[in-house]
Amino acid sequence: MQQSLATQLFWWCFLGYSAASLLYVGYLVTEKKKLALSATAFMGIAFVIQTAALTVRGIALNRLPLTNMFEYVSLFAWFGAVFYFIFLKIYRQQIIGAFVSPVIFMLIVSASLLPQHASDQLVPALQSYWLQIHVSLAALSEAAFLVAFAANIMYFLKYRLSEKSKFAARLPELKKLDFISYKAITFGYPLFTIGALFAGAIWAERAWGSFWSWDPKEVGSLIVWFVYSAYLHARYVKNWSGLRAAVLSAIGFILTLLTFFGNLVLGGLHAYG
Amino acid sequence: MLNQSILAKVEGMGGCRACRRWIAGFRELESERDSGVRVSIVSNFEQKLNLKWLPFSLRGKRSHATWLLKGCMLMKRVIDFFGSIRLAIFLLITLTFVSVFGVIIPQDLAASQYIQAWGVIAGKLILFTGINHLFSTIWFHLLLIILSINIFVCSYLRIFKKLKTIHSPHFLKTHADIEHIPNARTFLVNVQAEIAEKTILKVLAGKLFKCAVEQRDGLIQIYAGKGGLKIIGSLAFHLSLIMLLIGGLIGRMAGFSYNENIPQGAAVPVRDQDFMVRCDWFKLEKNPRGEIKAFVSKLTILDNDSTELLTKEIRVNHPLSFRNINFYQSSYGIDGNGAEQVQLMVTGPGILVGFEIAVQLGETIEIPGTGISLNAETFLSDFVMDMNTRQPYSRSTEPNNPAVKVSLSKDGNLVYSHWIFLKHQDYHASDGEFRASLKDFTPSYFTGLKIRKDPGSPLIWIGIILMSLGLYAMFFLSRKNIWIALSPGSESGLQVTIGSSGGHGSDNENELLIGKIKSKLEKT
Repeated sequence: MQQSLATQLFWWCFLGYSAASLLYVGYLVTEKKKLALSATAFMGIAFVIQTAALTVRGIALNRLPLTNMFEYVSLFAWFGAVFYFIFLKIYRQQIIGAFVSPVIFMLIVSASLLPQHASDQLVPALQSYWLQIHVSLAALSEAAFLVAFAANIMYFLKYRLSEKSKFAARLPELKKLDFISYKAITFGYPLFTIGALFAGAIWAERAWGSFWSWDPKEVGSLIVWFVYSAYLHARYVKNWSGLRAAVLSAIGFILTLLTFFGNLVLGGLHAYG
Repeated sequence: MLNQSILAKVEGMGGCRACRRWIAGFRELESERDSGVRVSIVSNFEQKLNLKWLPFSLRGKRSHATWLLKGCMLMKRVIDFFGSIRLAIFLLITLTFVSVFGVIIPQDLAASQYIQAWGVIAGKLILFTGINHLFSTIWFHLLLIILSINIFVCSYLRIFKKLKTIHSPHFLKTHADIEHIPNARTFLVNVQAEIAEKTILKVLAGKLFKCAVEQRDGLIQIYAGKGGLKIIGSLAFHLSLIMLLIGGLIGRMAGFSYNENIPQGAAVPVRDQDFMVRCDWFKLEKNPRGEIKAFVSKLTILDNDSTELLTKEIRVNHPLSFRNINFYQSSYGIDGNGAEQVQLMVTGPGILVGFEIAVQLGETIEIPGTGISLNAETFLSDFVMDMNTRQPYSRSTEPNNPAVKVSLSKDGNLVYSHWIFLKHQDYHASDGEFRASLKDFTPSYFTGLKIRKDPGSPLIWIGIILMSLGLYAMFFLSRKNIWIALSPGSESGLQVTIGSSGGHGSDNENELLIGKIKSKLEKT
């Protein structure tokens, strides 16, 4: 019963995020500040509704909502929204939101395509406190990578568009975008290492008797980790910055997206619906 | 003489300490000889540098020194190669690329499946290169080994050497130098120099800075640095990465892992150990909706004299550990008996309508007050009859066609003995007055354990903890240097200049620090 309430709330928040994205697109095209402000308002409403949806779902299922693909992608989008608000507060530039918000919206669309129904009975392998730790840290760190990705997209646009373009003038400076991307990754990387890799390995050892099984999702996460490690080394040791760094960071995020959608296709230990 | 070009090359490369001493020794002897002193380069050289530890004598063999120098140069080149960031980036990219193959091409399938899916040429290529079991091939392990060496040498050359800089203060020359630091601030306060110094040191200590003070020419300079932990953290991180790789390798080479199905009540020996494991019981717990909640086994470890050493209930996520062998609840299945108990409905004269009774498999039970006894002999989960031998057997352990052979006796006389079927209630239903039908059964399970020995496990645990601490130090601590100059003796008071350097985005922190120092000084 309550699950269907959660589902209804989810669809309302879906509408909220789509309205926000549309308004942001309008803002990008027309430069009308009002559109940006309404977009923020809709993001706020959608965020509140999504929080309610997650809470109701959690209560109905008697656990945190992070056990199947639908729940994971929703949680990921929710963390993305949290970062959206944080970055809005720090940088006070709507245009950053204009890039973060569509990515969040794409995640919500993906979530909407996944089966929502879940039982409150977890299979025995998932009955462990490691579930909360591993999944929430993974979602949080990947949301940080999402913010870096949004900054990278803006970087590419600003870089390619001519200086005379009015649109390019509205984007923040290249240096700032580079800095946002860097900061986001330095936040996400340790959480990803500890949450996605270590917590996952420890849990795998308790449940399946092996720290690391070269399962497709594990290898995918390792590849993502390699790419972001290369990014950090390139920045610290080789003093990379700017375009090269942005490209590497964007590759990392695309691979991140592939790791969870790849699981639907390839199966493996992580195929929990 | 010695090959001058090699000398020059080694000098150019820097060489290791031994080589530099030799070259210095040679140069000295050369200049002595040039200034007319009679020297025998070779024997004097040996004497001069106390080279008794050389594996062979230089006497008369000047070329040996050349070989040694050449060898040293080679060593340096090898070390530089293994300690290069370029190698690290190459390895990371290669590992990434190779791992992608491991994801896209399904692993550990039968050889024929690869040929079927990718054709003969590609399929055979996959099998030949080992891509079908990528992560256990020698060349993949080799990549990881080279990566470990790379990390180790890099850690020494780049990180370990930086450790020395943590505690060495780096004072600037004059007041003006400090003013030239970007973001330096100068202000005046009406405080005595010594008191100001004490106040500032207190503030800095509160912010976890390590300070050093220098007084020169009437100028008091304070140098504060923090974040030495960051370098230590980086070292810990990289070394623990090697620990993880070594731990994994040890586990793979010196450990084992296998599955064991144990019927309830049975005991099996554990590989290479002098004890056995017995499954006392297995329970499948379901919730009211019929979904599986948990599966639990009670295990007892027995030594070879059947003395019980340890007993524990295990379930998924909660394994049993005994003498470095771990027993994980991995799976379960229906065993050869098929069922522990069957639920039969019996009809006939003297029996209540709809009467049901539970019968343990292999036992005879009497219906009280009737003289009727029932025996459930054998149970099959998936009954089929072999047409040639007319023998029934179970096609699988899935309950596709549950059946039980039942004998019914009245007053000691066998009335009938039949196979009866859960899914075919009317088949063989009755033979005379009495009728028994199979209504339900309780499956008889065996427990599926995974038994594992992992000698690399402690190293992996240490690696994980150390790496987490290293990550924390590297990413959540900041590295900063602060220079403060106090020039007393001016009419209007003490001139304080503060300059700082820091990583990205430390401007805010610096502002706050300068503000705090200023306000503290103004209060005294």
